[in-house]
Amino acid sequence: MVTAEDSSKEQSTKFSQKIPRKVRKCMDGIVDELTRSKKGKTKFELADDLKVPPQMVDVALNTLRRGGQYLIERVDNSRSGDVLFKLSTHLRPAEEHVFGSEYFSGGVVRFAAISNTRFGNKYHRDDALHAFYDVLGREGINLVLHCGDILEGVITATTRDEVLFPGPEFQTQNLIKNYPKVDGIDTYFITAKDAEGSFTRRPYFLNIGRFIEDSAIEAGRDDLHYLGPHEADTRMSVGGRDVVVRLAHPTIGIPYAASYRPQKMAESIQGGTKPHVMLVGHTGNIETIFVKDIWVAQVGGFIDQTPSMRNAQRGTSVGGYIIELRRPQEFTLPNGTVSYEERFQEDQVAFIPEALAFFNRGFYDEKGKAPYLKGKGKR
Amino acid sequence: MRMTKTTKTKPSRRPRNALAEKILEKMAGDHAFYGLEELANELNAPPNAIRDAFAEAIKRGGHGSLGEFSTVPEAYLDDVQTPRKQRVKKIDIDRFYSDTPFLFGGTADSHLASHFSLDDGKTQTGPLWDMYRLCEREGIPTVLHGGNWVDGHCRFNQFEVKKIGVTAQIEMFINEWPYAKGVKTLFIGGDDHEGWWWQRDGLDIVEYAAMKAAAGGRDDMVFLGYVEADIALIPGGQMLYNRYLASPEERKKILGATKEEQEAFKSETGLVRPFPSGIQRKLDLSGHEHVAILRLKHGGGGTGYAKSYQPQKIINGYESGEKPQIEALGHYHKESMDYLRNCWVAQLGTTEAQSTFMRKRVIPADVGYFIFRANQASTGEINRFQHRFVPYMVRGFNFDPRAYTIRE
Repeated sequence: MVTAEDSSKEQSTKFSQKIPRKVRKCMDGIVDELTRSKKGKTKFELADDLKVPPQMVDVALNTLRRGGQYLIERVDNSRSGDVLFKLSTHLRPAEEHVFGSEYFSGGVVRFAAISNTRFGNKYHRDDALHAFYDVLGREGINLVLHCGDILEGVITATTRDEVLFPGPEFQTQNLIKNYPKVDGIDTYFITAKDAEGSFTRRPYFLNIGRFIEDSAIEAGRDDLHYLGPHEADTRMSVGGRDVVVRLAHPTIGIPYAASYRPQKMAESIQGGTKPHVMLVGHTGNIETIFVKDIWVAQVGGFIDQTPSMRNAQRGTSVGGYIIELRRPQEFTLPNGTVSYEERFQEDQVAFIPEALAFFNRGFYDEKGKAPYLKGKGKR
Repeated sequence: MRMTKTTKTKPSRRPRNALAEKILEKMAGDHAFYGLEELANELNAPPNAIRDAFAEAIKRGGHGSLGEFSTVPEAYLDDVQTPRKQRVKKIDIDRFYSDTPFLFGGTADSHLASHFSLDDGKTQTGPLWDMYRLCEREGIPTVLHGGNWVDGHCRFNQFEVKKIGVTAQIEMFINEWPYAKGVKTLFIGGDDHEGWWWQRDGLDIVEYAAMKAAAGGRDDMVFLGYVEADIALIPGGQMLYNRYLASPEERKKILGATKEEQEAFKSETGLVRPFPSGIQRKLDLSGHEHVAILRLKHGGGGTGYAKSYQPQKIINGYESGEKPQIEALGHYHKESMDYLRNCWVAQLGTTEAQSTFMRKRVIPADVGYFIFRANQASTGEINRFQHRFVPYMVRGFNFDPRAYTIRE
């Protein structure tokens, strides 16, 4: 099923591909001028700076807004009556996305959930990610939900030695060239506030998710789709009933107890707005719990522990989930009394997760050996 | 300040520019494209001088263009590179597919004989009965039980149990435990509830239950140990474990041992045969190169707010080399599934509703059971773990302390 959002995205992308060279030049100029100006600039100031007529600035600003890669907002000066344009860090929240039957062959609702791929970091586990996608290909799974931290983001003092590529362009190109591409598999991702989300801030002011998707399309990849920033609800039909699957990327400290954060997240959701399933990225844990009638899965990651993680005393697990959703099965016994999920709430959904875990790179180097296992004892 | 004399001179011809002349000489050749770095290095001049000289050479009739490309010093080559498609080291995904995955159910904390236990052996209803029927339907041959089969009795639960006394409760357990065709249950005993009889009265409750099960013809009820037992998972779908009590055949063999055999056994082990438990306690893994350990365990202490806290502490508490590959935990009445330090840790839930004890201590009960599917690679590791929890909503189930009965 193609939603209205999908079609608008498609239109915007086609639109951006047809931009005349002059307008593109003007757009780049506007972004440069606004990057230098903290207060913002009026249309006439921009036109003077770029030596173009105001009409051209209109076209360029409209194109920038529709393309959505750069975050430009309008600021009205109530005293002077001027309308200023300035770069912003404000991302509009994601709209709900509907996944139709095209992703679920035979009516079986199965998809994969991953997070923390951190492309651009030296410790990214490309071998494990490619193996994971190969497994999905073999299993006939068409949909991957990615819960953020798709890129490494801005280099910080602690990650300086870990980052291969410094800017959003290089990191995005690296992602596009190296993200697994398996026929028939679409990846839908949200962006984090940390990692790639740092490209939303000065000096980039990028809507990085849109930037990745558009860059991928320009490079001929139509399998990477941006859902929105930080959190996105998706809807899928399970046995004729709508089920809400929320992708969340909480950017907040990670406590000792792995389940603490998702428990607090689930408990804090207002009654009546709870999703059926919540997929949590960022933490790097592999875990599922059932809390407050929500199936919560922390979906792991595809990055080894980095020196900065070690410094922060943070561990991580390498792997992801394959998830199947079903209506609770009901069957009647000969005596007519019991169905094994009869006490299940009517609006609930049966959740069947399967985690795939990977060991460190060294494990796969030693062919046919499992040195850590009990009974071997040779290492 | 240095003073210079200014003199009027006639406008002269263009000054001699040695660099430009050298470049002009080069331009006499066929090459139309010249690298700035190459020229600067060759003529031993800075890039700006080369640029000026090149422009001068063009003015003097030369032909060619100047390329600005500069190479990166060798020591910096690895610092930042243009992204390119990288070669990925392939992991063989066949190791994620086994013909003989391990299928097993998991439950714990049944607390039969308690008013809060949700199963009724007489009507054959409740989560446990549902679970065994599900196992039968889906061909799951084994169920693991993480302890606390019965509620036991002590000072504070004596009015909340249906049966008083060890024999009454254990017989109820043996008689009312669900039975499903082709499904075997592996039990461990907890050190609380049924374990109170061990702690308080010195009765080996696991052996007692095993004897009662044997006497009751319940071959499907296998008792592995007290508090903790290891099960070895062998690639190919084989499970190895020790029985707490010898099976009837093993017992026959032990009792029929000759005097010499008994003496040999005594000298080897220091034990007299037949001894109470009858069989060895150590898992014999010789002959199996690749093994994964599934540890069935009944935890201890109180539960934390965070469901994963106790499992994390348990896994962190193991010595290096002692960690199992799968740990199935009872005791906390919680469900959770974590992958901790390369170990799959499941808390098996409960089939007892929230009791007065739990309600007073604000401990929630996660009612339900697990169905597992573990994929073991030929090298032994468990790399794929499906864990389906079937939860139960137990609304309206309240214990009335005034009437000591169930409120309708």
